[in-house]
Amino acid sequence: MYDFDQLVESHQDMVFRTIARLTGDRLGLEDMAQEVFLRLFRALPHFRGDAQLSTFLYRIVVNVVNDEFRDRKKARLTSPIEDEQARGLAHSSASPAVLAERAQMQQAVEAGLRQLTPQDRTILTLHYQEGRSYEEIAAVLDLPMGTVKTHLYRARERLKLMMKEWAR
Amino acid sequence: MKENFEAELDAALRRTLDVHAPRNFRQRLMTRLPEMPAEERPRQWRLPALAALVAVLPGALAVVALRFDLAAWLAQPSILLAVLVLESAIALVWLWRTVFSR
Repeated sequence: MYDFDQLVESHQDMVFRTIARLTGDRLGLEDMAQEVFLRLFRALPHFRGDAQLSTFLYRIVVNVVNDEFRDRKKARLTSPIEDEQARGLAHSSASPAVLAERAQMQQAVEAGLRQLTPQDRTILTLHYQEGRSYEEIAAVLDLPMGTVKTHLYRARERLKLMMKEWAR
Repeated sequence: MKENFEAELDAALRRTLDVHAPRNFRQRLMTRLPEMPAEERPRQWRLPALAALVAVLPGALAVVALRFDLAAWLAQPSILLAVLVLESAIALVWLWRTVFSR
């Protein structure tokens, strides 16, 4: 039996930073984090432990973020992709090179991440930021491990391409 | 191209966002939680009771059937048809509840 209070305490920062990177902004961060833990709370009695709890939790995070994007799309809110930084990345007036000149590699990477598909962003985030194995990412996203590896490679290449100006 | 670009890109991707849960997040969350689901008590008496019932019931039914000549009664076409319809209905309801309505 899991101590829910303890689970929240030990996973809350992970949930917040993963949602922040997957959505690319801080809008409604706490609401989404609450939704993640509420879903975990409801599902916990049925959790049979045949997967790691962290895998289970990441899966909930990904689902909540996907639902959020769907709601935003329905509400015709501007996508985080269209925010200033991402626009800057796409236009020469504020290219990654400019960002680099400002010593903002990190910002450029975050902006580049937002231009990727949600799935590619998720794979990169889980692999690099969260240090998850291919196997665990495959379990979270319900994909074959080979597909995860291919997506990871392609997403990183795409990100590299976006940032080639910076690299000059 | 910067030689260390690849390494810098990986480092930037690996760098954890400086995002933390607000200090009182856990407390706020706890107030939103629905009532804790009551822990289900293990019902250890169920299986032996069911086994006893399964062992006794067919015998009891057989005794009743012999005493009241149930075989002849059941052999009447109308009774047989009614029993078949009833059993089919029960089977359909069970199927609906266990398979289709999930």
